[in-house]
Amino acid sequence: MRRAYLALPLLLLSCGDSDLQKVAKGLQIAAESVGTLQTTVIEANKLALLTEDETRTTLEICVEINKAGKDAVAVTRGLVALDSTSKSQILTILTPVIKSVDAAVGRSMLIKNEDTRAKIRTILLTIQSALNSVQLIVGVT
Amino acid sequence: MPLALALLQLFNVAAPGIAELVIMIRKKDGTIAIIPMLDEADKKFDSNIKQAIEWLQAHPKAPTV
Repeated sequence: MRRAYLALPLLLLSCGDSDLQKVAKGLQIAAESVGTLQTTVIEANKLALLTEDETRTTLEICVEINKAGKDAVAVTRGLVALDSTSKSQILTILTPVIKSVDAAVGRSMLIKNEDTRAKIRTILLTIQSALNSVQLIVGVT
Repeated sequence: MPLALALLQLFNVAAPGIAELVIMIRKKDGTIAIIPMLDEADKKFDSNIKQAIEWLQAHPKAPTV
């Protein structure tokens, strides 16, 4: 019984791990920002400010991020605190999409319309930053 | 201390679903709300996928000759 008394505060302390909260927040920001990016590129395409190919490439990356995001949410949902296994799982899920986002940031420089380029780059940088913050947390084992 | 005892009893009763219970307690005290954040993110990822797929299907890549 005494063991159980000791276990309770330890368990509650381990739940004080705000890293889990930061991961959840990072995923939420990524989801919102990807939604904004998608709407922005679709609208820009309608206005002929972005080519079909540019729009398609961006949306394909968005699908990739969304799927990875869902996988990361599924891993995070059952956790009370981040352990090395869950960190490694999330890292494996997010690393390829972070590379895709990095590449998209680079490619966004080629968008001809200045306003559209600025808008898209800003949103991409927000996504990059949200994913990097999650990577930073789960990258530490 | 009485609160700790009460919580301990709760944990003992709910041992199989302990993780969920801890999350519930944390949500109640207002310090954390991971599950709603994850639910929101998950829903948004779903609607994003739907929007992107719809556009991609409506604008198929032109075949290269």
